[in-house]
Amino acid sequence: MIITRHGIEVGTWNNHVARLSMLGLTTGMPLAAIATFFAPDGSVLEGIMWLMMIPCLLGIYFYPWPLERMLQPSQPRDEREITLAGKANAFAYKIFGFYIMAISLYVLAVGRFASYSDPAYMPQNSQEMISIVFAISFVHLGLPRLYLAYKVPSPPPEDNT
Amino acid sequence: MIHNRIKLFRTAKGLTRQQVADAVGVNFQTIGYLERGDYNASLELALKLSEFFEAPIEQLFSLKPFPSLADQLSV
Repeated sequence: MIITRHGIEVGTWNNHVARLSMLGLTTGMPLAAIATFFAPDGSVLEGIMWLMMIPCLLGIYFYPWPLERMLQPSQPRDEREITLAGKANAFAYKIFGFYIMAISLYVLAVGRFASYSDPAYMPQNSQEMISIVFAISFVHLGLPRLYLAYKVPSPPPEDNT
Repeated sequence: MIHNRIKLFRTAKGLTRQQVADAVGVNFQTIGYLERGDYNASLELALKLSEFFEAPIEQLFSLKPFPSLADQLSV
């Protein structure tokens, strides 16, 4: 479960914060992970790129809890929340499916045509492999939350009455 | 789009969203989303609300916008 404390009370979260936090997680984290490929091992630049992930990761704290609980089957959810969670997961798997398919086709193509063309990129060491897994994990984690952040309007404070 | 008069019935009975939500078994925020038209209730929830407010379902939900009170008074 993602740790989030933002927006527990009605009227304390807004859509801009929710969208920004999940854009950071879904795009910022994978990009920063992949960017470490281009920094020499053990360099200051590599350290800076890893440090850049901290603000993206902290964005999770500002993701509204009412949205997060929709994705948690362990939480008591009503029909609206279950419906939205279903739509969010469907959206995420649709994009993630293409993403995985593209990677699979690339790996297959590299293996098939390696001897005929210039060497294509493949992970060279465990650090690159970890970075790729890291990037894929954050895309997987962020997409359903990004969908909810864009689709669910924040409730006004008068909902408490 | 499905229009509803949940807010009208709720305020007429002097109830909070939380009280209505507890009665029909949903999150109180869902009542707010319903009242604002951001969410359409399932048939089960619509029937529960109809039973709770002791009103026929067609008085609570409609495919056409409900006439305003001013329109009704002018007829």
